[in-house]
Amino acid sequence: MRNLILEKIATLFLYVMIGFALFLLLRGHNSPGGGFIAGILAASGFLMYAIVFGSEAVLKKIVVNPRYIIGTGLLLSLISAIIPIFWGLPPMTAIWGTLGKIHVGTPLLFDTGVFVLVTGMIISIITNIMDVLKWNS
Amino acid sequence: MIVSLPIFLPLSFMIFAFLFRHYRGREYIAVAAAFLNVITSILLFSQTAREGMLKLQMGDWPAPYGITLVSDRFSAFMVLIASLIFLATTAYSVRSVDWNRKSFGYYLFSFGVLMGVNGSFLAGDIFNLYVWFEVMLMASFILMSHGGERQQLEGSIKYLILNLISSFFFVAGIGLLYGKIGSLNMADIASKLMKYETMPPEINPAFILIFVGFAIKGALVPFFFWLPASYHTPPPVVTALFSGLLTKVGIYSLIRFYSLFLYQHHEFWQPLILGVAVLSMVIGVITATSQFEFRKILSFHIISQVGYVVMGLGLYTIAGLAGAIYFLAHNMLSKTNAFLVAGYVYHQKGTLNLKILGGFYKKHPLWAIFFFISAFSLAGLPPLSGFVGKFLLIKAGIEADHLGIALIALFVGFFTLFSMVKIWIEVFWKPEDNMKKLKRIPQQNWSIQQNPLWMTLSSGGMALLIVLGGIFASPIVDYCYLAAESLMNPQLYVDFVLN
Repeated sequence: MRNLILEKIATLFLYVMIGFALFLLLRGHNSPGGGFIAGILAASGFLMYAIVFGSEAVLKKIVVNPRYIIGTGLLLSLISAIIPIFWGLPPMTAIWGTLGKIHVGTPLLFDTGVFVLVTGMIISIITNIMDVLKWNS
Repeated sequence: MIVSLPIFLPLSFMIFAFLFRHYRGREYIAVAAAFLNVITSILLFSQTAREGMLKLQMGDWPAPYGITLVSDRFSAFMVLIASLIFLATTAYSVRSVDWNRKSFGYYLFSFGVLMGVNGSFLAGDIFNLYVWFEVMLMASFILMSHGGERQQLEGSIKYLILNLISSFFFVAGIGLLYGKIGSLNMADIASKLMKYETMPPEINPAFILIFVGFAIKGALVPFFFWLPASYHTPPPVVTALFSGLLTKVGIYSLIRFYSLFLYQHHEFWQPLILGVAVLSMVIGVITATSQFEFRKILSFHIISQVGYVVMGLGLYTIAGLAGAIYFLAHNMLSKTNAFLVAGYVYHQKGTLNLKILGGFYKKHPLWAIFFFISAFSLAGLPPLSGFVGKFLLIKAGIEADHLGIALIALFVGFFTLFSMVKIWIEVFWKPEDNMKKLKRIPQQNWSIQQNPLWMTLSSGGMALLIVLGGIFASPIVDYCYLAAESLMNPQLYVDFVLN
């Protein structure tokens, strides 16, 4: 049985959550927020979507296998950890530069990696659990 | 920089394994990565041996505030041995692990175990050590339940629950300690404890909790139940990897904690540790004699061997610690190789029940020799590495006026020999009884492909290392003495890390 209102809300909720997650990710360095909590929020949007539409719809929505999302997140974090080595600093040292008026640096890259990793991980967990529970059928 | 490589290298391989899933030559890339890991470990080892200690302040935060990685002679030696074991088991798994497990991330999680082990050896911060323990626990739990056979799941549930309890103890101890001392950096805690004349009694509960955590991890006597209940269930190569690495990390951490903190309350801890050591040695070896399964006998022997190491620690003399370090390294190599041979037997016959097996020497003389070397090294026969280890430990025991304990160690050695001879006779010498031949053919998904060259190479390499470790023992023993001296002098460690 389709529930049109719920479907609309779930779709909207997904985009709102992703937008809010990005906001939290970017303000994370100095204010409450950061990669982990942003990842959980984004994934909660996908969770709502999965409850309404089923896990296959989520996998279709994110296009690639969650496995690659996890890998990409880890890769981003690793890159941010080893960049300082080329400056002769110990790994994971924060390196800051300016892009126009905005300060960007390796902590942001690290946080982005955590964000991607957490999102992919939770999506992978919920879709697997839903498969085991036969949620879709 | 070099200190962080043993952590970053496995991580890079894991990322690679995540991103490239369906790739044919994955196993060869894994072997290459394991080989690369050996090279970096050798670099780390040689640099540490030259300079004594290396440190790395992650994120450029100075010592008591940031996370510190410290490599001293002891930890560098352990990283080196662990990398050798890992290379052997990875090469062994090329043929021994089935395609299904490989494509569902066998290599990914085995590198996770390696990363956790290397991290725990190098951590200079208690909470960081805890995190590496968790990394190791999660990856090893997945490896243990990987494939989802019935008995495997049973074993892995026991493994997970008991190890999680150990983590609870550990983290509760960390919390108490942080409440009392206000620091998590090992060197900082040690320097703060040194300021007391006698260790204040309110700190001991925290250390007791941490000790229980390590004792569960290291399978010491009152807490060893998870080990024999789970180690005979996963694929043989996984057992070999675990037996070489996991319990030894618990023991390593115990030695590190004892030499930094616990020695200050010597009169309380020494009898406790020696008692646990004696109980582990005796109970492990006696329970092993009643077993009739190849891998179960070896699993019970892990408990007894770990007791030897803890005995060397409990003596707390330079000779005792040096013996403990040598014995730890020897035991990692010999035990892993014994399990590798057990894996080969399993792949050939489909069972490890000693009553059914037989006649293996006639059909596979090479593997019989590999087993002979590793098993009799465990028992402590002269030209092999086990002899040197036991000799050092028993000599240290006599010198430290613990004659009774030294005698018990000798006596346990006889029982070890008894179990090893039992396996040798039942599996390799006894003629194969056709009447009792197993009706069940080897499980399809565990059987090897035709060419056991990789298995022979890895097991043979380990056997060669064991023999060399016994024959050319003197430089290794000298190194162990140096490592023990720097362990006995925690002021060095504190000064090096904090300044």
